[in-house]
Amino acid sequence: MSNEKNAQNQKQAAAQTAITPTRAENYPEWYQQVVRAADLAENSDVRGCMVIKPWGYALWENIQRSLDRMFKDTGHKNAYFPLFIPLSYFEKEAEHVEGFAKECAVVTHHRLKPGVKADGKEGLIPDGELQEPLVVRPTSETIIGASFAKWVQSYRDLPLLINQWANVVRWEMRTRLFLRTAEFLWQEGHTAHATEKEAMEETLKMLEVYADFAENWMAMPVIKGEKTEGERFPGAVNTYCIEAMMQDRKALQAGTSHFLGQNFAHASDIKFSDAEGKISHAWTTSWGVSTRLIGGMIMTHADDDGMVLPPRLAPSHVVIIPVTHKPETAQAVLDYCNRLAADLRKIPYAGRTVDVEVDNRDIRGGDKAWQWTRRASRCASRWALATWSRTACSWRAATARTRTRCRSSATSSSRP
Amino acid sequence: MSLKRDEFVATVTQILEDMQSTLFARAKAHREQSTKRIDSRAEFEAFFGAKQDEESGAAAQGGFALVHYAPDRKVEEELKAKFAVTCRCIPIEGADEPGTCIFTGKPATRRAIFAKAY
Repeated sequence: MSNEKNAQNQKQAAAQTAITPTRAENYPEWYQQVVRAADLAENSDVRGCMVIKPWGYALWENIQRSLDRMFKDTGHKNAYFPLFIPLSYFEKEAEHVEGFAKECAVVTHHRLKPGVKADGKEGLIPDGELQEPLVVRPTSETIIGASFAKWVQSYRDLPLLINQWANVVRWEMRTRLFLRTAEFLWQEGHTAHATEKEAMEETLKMLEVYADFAENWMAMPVIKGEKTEGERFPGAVNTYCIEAMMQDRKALQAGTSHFLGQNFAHASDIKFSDAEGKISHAWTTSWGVSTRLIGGMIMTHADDDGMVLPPRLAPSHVVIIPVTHKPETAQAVLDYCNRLAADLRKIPYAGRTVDVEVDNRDIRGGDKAWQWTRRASRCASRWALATWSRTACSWRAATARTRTRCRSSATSSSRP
Repeated sequence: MSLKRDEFVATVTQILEDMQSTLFARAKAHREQSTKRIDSRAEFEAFFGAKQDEESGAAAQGGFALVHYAPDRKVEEELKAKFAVTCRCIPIEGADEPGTCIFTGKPATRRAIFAKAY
């Protein structure tokens, strides 16, 4: 091979990336390809709705676990409220209904019967029209407000600090995996207080929790700020947010915390009697983050070789790929890897223990390595455990002609 | 770089924490490089340029523009239509910095962040 050709080949090899196109070539398409290649999620047959795959869902579970701890440490309790909101509840807050009216999924029937469909074919058609249509929750202020009105009688019932982990539906026309989907997963905090001051303090406290989570768990720097009137949550008095910058220099609103004043307390009739027996409306707040955070993590950290995960939230920290070319030593190598994994799994890290995968699938080592690269990108340095402990005799025998790498799956790599 | 097995086990959490802080520092440096204090409408328009073509995937321009702004819905609607730029927020940290709104000339107590957004 000529030197020139050799140099050309090397150049091509150096430019090869796991993700095509690269960020520089086409950022939105790069994003979709990372989501796909890293096995995080995929589009479903239901327009605008995503399927969150195990690797992506594990990430969401880690987000949930960490945030849930923070909510509980700040005095909140979890509860669950109906998916369906009677239309009349929804109509109670005028700005609120106006803000969400254009993106609501509405249930109007409660059964199916055989009949002729719109396309003229025989099939099943909706039957049993509901007296009052039900809105699939786009957010739950009004339905939770109805419960709060029953739970709150006296100042002794306040503050009421509730969080719900749930799915919501907003009928979006243009969707993108994690960033904007018709159905998404989130948490929504809803609180009621006796005074305006307490409700405002709660609003800002939860904004602080979100900023702490974004920066210290997601490794995503954020700016805490207040929205202007036009960007406010429909029905809120003030909306506060955390804003992050993505690699394409666009902003991502990563979480919001709303001071609702007494607007929703009036709409849902959340009243309490104070120490002197005087009746007042409560002051409420609501705050939420969603699976959008995963989109933010991708656009903050991923690179042209795939996903890059902040270790504190990574589903796996270390992936061990046993290299078992020789059948006679394969079991010894595997035993060694399993012992290493067991030792690592005892080590506490980020509120759990180090998560280790021993990838012993019967596929080519190169394919495995490439797959893990796309899921978690390159290591800052490749942790090549070529030199093993002296006690690992079986391993030493097995390594005479093979090399095994121990990769950390939570990785960083250079960015262009 | 290679590590002995026991050394790897002993240092794995430190390695992970180093990665965590490296990721944060890198993202923060990126944000700081792409954040600009802007004091005139002309400079603001040059910073964001023409409305991004979402379909072609052309790279977004600009970044975070920190400008004096007296909130006004009409201004926000116009900027959104012309440049696909929105007021992201008025940061709550840091001291007030009185100035003049670059869009209306009205007094503004703080700078707001404008950017293209997801």
